[in-house]
Formats: sequence, C-alpha cells, structure tokens
Amino acid sequence: MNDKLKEIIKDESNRFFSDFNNHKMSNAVFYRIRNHNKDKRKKFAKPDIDFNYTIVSRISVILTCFVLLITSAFILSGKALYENEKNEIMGEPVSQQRIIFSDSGLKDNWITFFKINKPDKVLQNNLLAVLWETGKNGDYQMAYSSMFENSSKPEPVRIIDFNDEQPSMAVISTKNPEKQYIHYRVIGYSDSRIIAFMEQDYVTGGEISVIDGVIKETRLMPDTGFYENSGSHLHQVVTYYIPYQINKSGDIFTTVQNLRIRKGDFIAVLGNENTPVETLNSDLLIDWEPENELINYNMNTKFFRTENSGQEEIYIRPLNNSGQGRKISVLIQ
Amino acid sequence: MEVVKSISTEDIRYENKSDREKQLEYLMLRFGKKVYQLAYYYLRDRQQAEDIYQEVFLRVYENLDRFRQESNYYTWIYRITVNLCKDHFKSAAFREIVTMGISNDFSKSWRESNKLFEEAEGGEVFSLVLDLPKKYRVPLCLHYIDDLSVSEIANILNISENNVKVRLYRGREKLKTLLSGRNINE
Repeated sequence: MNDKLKEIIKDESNRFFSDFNNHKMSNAVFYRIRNHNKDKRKKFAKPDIDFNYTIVSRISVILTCFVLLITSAFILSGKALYENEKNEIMGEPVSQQRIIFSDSGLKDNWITFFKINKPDKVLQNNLLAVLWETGKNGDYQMAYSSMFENSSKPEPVRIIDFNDEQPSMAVISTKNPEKQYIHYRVIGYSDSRIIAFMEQDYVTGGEISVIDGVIKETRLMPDTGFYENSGSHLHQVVTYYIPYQINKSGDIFTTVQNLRIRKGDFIAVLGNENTPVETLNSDLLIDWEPENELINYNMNTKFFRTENSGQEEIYIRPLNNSGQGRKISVLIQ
Repeated sequence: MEVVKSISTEDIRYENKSDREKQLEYLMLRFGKKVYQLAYYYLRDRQQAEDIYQEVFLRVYENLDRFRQESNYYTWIYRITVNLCKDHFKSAAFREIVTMGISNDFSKSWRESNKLFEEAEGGEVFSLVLDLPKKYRVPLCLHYIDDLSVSEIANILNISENNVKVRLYRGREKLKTLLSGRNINE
C-alpha cells in the first residue's frame, strides 16, 4: 500500500470520526454508573416518598382477603388451577446432585434438574438446571440456572479440582439419546459468584468427560465445515480444554502440567474472560480460528490444532497482572 | 500507537467524582475515541458502536481494581471491545436479523444506508476499506488508521503475529481488487 493511499484512508477516516463526542459518551457512561449505584442503594434505603401507611395497609388487607377468597374457591371446587399449569410448564425434579466446590467456603451446593416447557406449552424435553448455594442464614438460594433445550437426560456433574486452593469448576451436561447430541456448561466461582466459563449447545455426537483435570470434548463435524449440508461425511473432532484460574496476585493455576494427545486433536485454554491471558506456543501447534466452524464457540478461548507429532509446550501468561504464568508440556502422538 | 499527548486538568471535570471515577474518566479521554472506532470497524453502525463504547467502559469501571500496570491498559480495553463486538455478532438479536428470511431486506437496506453515510461523511476509499470482510478490515484499520504495530494487533485480537501479517497482506490484495477501475492508485 503506497503512502498516498494510506494518507487518503487516514484523512477520510479522520473526517468520518470527527464528530465523535467523547464528552457526551463519557457522560452517558457516568449516568449509567450512577443510576446503577442508585438502584443498588435503593434496595436497602427507605423510600423517599411519604406513604400514607394507613391507606397502604387497608389496601393490603383488602387484597389479602380477595386472594384468600379466590384460593378457597378453587380448593373447595377441588380444582386448583395452578395444578394444571404446573403440569404443563414446570415438572418435578429429574435429578439432584450435591457438589463440592473446593473454594466455596462453607457453602453447600446442589444441582437440580427440572423438566420445563416454554410458555407456549408445547411439550418438549427441556431441562432447567439450577445450582443452589447456601446463603448466610443457611437457607438455599439460586446461584446459577441454565436451560437445556430438547434434551431429556441429565448427566452426572463432573468437578474439576484445582490444587493450591483455587475454586473448582463444574461441568454440567445433558443428552438427547435419540438425536445423539449434548449440551454442556462449564461453570465455577469467580469472586464469590458463579459464572459460566463456556456454554455449548447441540454438540452433535457429543461426549464430554473430565480426564486428569482436563475437559475432553468429542463432537462430529462435517468434513467440509460446519455449515455444509448435513448429508456430507462426518468426522470426529476431539478438543482438550485446559482450565485455568488466576488468583488475586495474578498467578495462573492450571489443573495439568503434562498432556498427551493424538495428532489431529485440538487444544484450548479456558478461563475467566475478565482476566485475559496470552498463550504462547512453538510451531507444532497451529492457531485455529473456529469462528466459522463451531457454533457458540467461546471467543475468549484460544484454540490450537495439532498437525504434527512431537513434544510441544504451551505457556499461559497473565496479560494484565504481573503474576506467574504456567507451562504445560504436550506430547502429540 | 497514537496517545493523547497532554491531558490538562481542565479537560477532566474532577468535582464530585471518586478516585475510581476519575481514573475511568482519564481512560475514556485517552482511549474513548479509539474504542469507538474499533467498535465501528467491527459493526459499521454508529449507534451500535456507541452502545459498545458504554459497555466497554462500564466493564472497565467494574474491573479497574485488577490492574496495576498502566502500560497494559490499552490491550485490556481493546480486548474487551473486541470481545463485546464478537458477542454482539453472537447475540440472539443479531442472529435473528441474519437468519430470519423476513429480515433480509431490512439487513440489506441497513448496510446500504450505513455505506452511504461512510461515503458521504468519510470518503469512497474509507468506505471500500470497510467493505472488506471483518477478518481483514479490522487489522487493516488498526494498522493503517490507528497506527498499531503488528504485535499490538496480535495482542488485541488474540491471534499470532504471523496471522496478522497474513490478514494484512490478504486485506491489501482484496482492497487492491476493490480499488481497481477507480482513479485511485494502489
């Protein structure tokens, strides 16, 4: 590209962006920050408006009487309307499993899968996974929930434990045995709240397992790419997700130091998007951008494709902190 | 990389602001326009680029405590911008626009009107650069408009330097094709 063209592009770009008003934009950001803070405060503060408590209490009494009357009428007629609704929208729990996250303090965690239908009441085999945690008073509250469409079979939750007192991660998955696909979520605690590190839906021919702290995902993909006709030949793709966590000092922790994989497999590192890392490697692993091939791929996850055999090293380095990185040796066979 | 050379205290309204807010204001002053531009390179829509700007700095505000080295701020902020733009393409609303047949006409006219704005308010060449697939236009814009080095672009886009070089090369080739037949010398 010659200098003249560069100059033209720059001039035209400057002209195009010349009316950008940073002052207006920053005010909008501060407006949102302050409104957000105000909302938070409002939850705890007494409202500023002077209520007429007499009127409010009278209305409450009238409303309570009304609700009691309606409920009694349904109970007496032997047909509680909500029973029908319950059967059609929300079902009984399908499974429940206790989970122990190593760094969740004294919290007690459970995952319950419920059968659930959408409001249109069309019968589907959807599952709603709810992660419960105990609050300060010991009562259970919902810490995370996620819907798994068209899949009837919850799989056992797998835990990925980090040594060094880092919070664990959990893999929640469900399966549709007829259509042979899975959905899965990788979740865990970050700053005392649950976040999803990865969410994948409709993984064709999918299998998910945790082997020595590494998530092994298997899926079928068309030879010619994801978006080609379904009639084309499918091949199996294996991806190893190496989970990592960053502690408050910025040091990186992984669950694995050595990994042995087959030629043609994929590797990716998986962590919190708010703490970006840089992954360095030598020539055996080739950067792979699944943007056009994988649906719902996690854009914060860096993928490598292995095309040759040999010994390789991946170095994960924190980008924003001065903490220690981690090296993982990979043997490609 | 272009850096705001001097920021006087007059530029920053400090009154009634916490230290964290002052820090945020400084970052918006320093990187705000670049964030907006980067979002525009991805989305080609002023309104959406403004939304991304706000989201980026809200996230910056929420996560300011994590940072100790100012030299890395730009990478961090640009990375958030890139991720939010990619999130936007993945978002349900965007996918509906792209996948639902009824919206094809809307999508087309939306693209055309944005292109008209780019040509009218910028110029023909700038608009042609933005016509490139985003895989090529983003590195090209960052390199030739924002003066970022190959390694800086690699950092921001989380790809290798070689990959950036390949994209720049292919982007230039594609731009050359788009420019051929027009009275602009490559």
